[in-house]
Amino acid sequence: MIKKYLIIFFLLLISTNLFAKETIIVGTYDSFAAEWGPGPEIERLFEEICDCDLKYITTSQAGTLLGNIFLKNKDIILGATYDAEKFNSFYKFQAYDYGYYAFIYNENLLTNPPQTFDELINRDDLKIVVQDPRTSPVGMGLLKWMSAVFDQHKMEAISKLDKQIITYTPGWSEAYGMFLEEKADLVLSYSTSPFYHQEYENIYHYKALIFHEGHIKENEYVIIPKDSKQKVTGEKFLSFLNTEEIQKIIAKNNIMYPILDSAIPSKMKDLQKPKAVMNMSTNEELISLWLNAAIQ
Amino acid sequence: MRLFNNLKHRLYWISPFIIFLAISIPLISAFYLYDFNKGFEYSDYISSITFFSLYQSLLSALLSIIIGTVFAYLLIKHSYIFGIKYIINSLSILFVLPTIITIFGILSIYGNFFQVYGFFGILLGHVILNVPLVTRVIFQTLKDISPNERMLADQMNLNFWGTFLAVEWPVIKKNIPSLFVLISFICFVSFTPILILGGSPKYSTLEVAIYHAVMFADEFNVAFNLLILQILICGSIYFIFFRNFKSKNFIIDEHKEYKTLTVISSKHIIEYLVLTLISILVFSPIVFIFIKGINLTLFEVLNSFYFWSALGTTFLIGCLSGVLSIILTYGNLVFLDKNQNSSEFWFYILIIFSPGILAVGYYIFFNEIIDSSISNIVIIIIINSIITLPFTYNYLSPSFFRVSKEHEDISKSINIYGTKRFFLVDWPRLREPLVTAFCVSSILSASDLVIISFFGTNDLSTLTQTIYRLMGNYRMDEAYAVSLLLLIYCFIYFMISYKLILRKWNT
Repeated sequence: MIKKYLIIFFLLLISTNLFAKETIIVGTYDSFAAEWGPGPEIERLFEEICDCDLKYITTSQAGTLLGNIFLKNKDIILGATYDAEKFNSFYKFQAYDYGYYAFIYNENLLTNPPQTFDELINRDDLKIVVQDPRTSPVGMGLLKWMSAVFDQHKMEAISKLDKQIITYTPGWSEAYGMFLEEKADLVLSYSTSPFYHQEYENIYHYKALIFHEGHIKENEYVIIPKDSKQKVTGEKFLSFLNTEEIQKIIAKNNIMYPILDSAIPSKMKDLQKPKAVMNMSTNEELISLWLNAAIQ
Repeated sequence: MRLFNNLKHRLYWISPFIIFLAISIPLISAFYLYDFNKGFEYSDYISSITFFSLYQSLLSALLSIIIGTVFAYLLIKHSYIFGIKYIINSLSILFVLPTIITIFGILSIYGNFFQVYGFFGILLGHVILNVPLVTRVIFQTLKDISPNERMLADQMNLNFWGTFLAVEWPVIKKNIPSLFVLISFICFVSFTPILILGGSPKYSTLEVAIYHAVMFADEFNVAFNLLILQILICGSIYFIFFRNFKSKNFIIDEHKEYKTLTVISSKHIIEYLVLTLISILVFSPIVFIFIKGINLTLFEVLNSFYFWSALGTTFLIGCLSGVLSIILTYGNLVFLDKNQNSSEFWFYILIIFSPGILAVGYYIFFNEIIDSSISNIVIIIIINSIITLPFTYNYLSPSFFRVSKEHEDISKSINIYGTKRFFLVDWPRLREPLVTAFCVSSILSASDLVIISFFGTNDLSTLTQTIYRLMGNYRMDEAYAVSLLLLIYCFIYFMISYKLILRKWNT
């Protein structure tokens, strides 16, 4: 009798497994998956075509995305920036949007913004808020940017800028929130940030500082780690992200330039695109440089 | 039979053995991943944060003690003023409230007037967090001064300073060394205040640096080096000063009636001013959170899934680690009682292993060494119960030893042992300290941000971590609302504890 029940039980167990939708776990940062980010809509549209259950697991600190701990049990990682050492070990990766790091200011409050990066580091009247390079790719971006612009003198430049920084926040949202509450004159973000205020709030007084020295162009990547259990669906997701429809959603909700030029919204097209510069130093090198500059 | 008795006797070793295991596992695990080829590079950064950790902790302790002593002195001198009683009673609760609420409050109020990020903010945070503890302890000792001494000073016609030096100072002086060491210790391993108010690597502690090394850089070597450095420094402080530290009970009021004949007079106007200023300093963050918490998002928060799920997790972690902590403490107390020759000081040694160190060790153990499927909540509960052990011990031991001594003979004569003895003989009299110890360790586990940072996930988050996440996303109104709800949660926890104690008093 018990045997019979057991057999039925196991049959049920197997059948539910057979008919259950496969779950695909996407690790990303908070603001991508948040209700105001592109995450929910992408989830809905992808589930329509893949017959699977897409689930986001998020971290508030995008710097942890490529950490061994976060990588564990994830089928896809979304939103990481390039890191040669780590990327070699991935099964597949692909860029889905990009942006240029830039300082944002409020035209009504800061009437004499610095015109060049060189002027910026030599000012002493500005309150700047940036992200911690250890925890935030945007914060790391600033170090790469300064390394590209100041080359041999980067240590001195980082040290000078550090004097004007009120705080290094763990993530982007906190820094940008402080800036919007007028606790800082400048905030580190992307040159596309004014697009958000123009498109959704019809506000035009937030501007990006475009420096003639050039800016770092950063791609955001979607990654299939080696241990992913859903490589086939993962690849489907990768090509899905670069379709025009999704690219438009990403541009409008993630406030970044889409990889497909045809998907750029018109107001974003009107923004000035900075000149791109390249950084040659490794992240580790820059972090230790920064740590030494910041403790002075 | 003899063998059985022997075995029974050996069972007392279980609790200390579990604690020994609980500490050695993370230490060995952290060491397991150590790469000897890399060695130890004592960089400028490490020396900078080591120096800063020590410097800020000593300065914070000094300031907290000065302000707390002045506060206690004025509170006792002017205890006739209406409301002072409430201030004194809330001080003991204030000390165990989640740190993140106070720090968030400081950031929100003082951030409007000063540059709170950096050294100033950290000092301010540590002072506001520790003044209640100092005040409570000094207040208690000042209260025990016999009125005769004051009369004597009066008769000798001593002036203000003369009276102070003759009557109060000798008693205060006795408490200062242990308080100073304890607060330096708390500030040295400080995590939440530094994480939120630090603002730059210049103002960081070893505890935060360990967290960064593991979570963001995957640098286990650096983490292990920092960990050893921290243990060495904490160990030195401990062995030099802490050995003779006598713990005090911080929460239970003795409710002695204290009456003076003084009335409010303009002579003391400066003292009233100082009293008011310190009260404002200490209570402002909590009051501010209370006011800001009542906002439009409060209903949104109450309707949200994330709040209730975090509340459930907080309750589960608090409750279970409280129970586990009590069981372990009790087992150890029984062990200490049976082995009179072993000293209790090794119990306090646990305090050397900061939450960061244990969390890193267990993190490596569970993620890198054994690929276990043990759910994270179990790990969080275990670590929390170990970290709160010195506190539960502190609250439980005085009553336990008293009760145990009194009941020893009678239990032996009527032949009651073990759990039977506990429920029949000891429980009725130990209920009160047990409940208090349970509450404190639950609240401490609920306040933790270190361990949950390592093991928390989207689906597994406490209220404390939820507040930190909301702050990180700059959803400040929601963060205020959740902070208020966490405050209410803590108060309910304490009310239950007090109610149980009161019920006992009434019978």
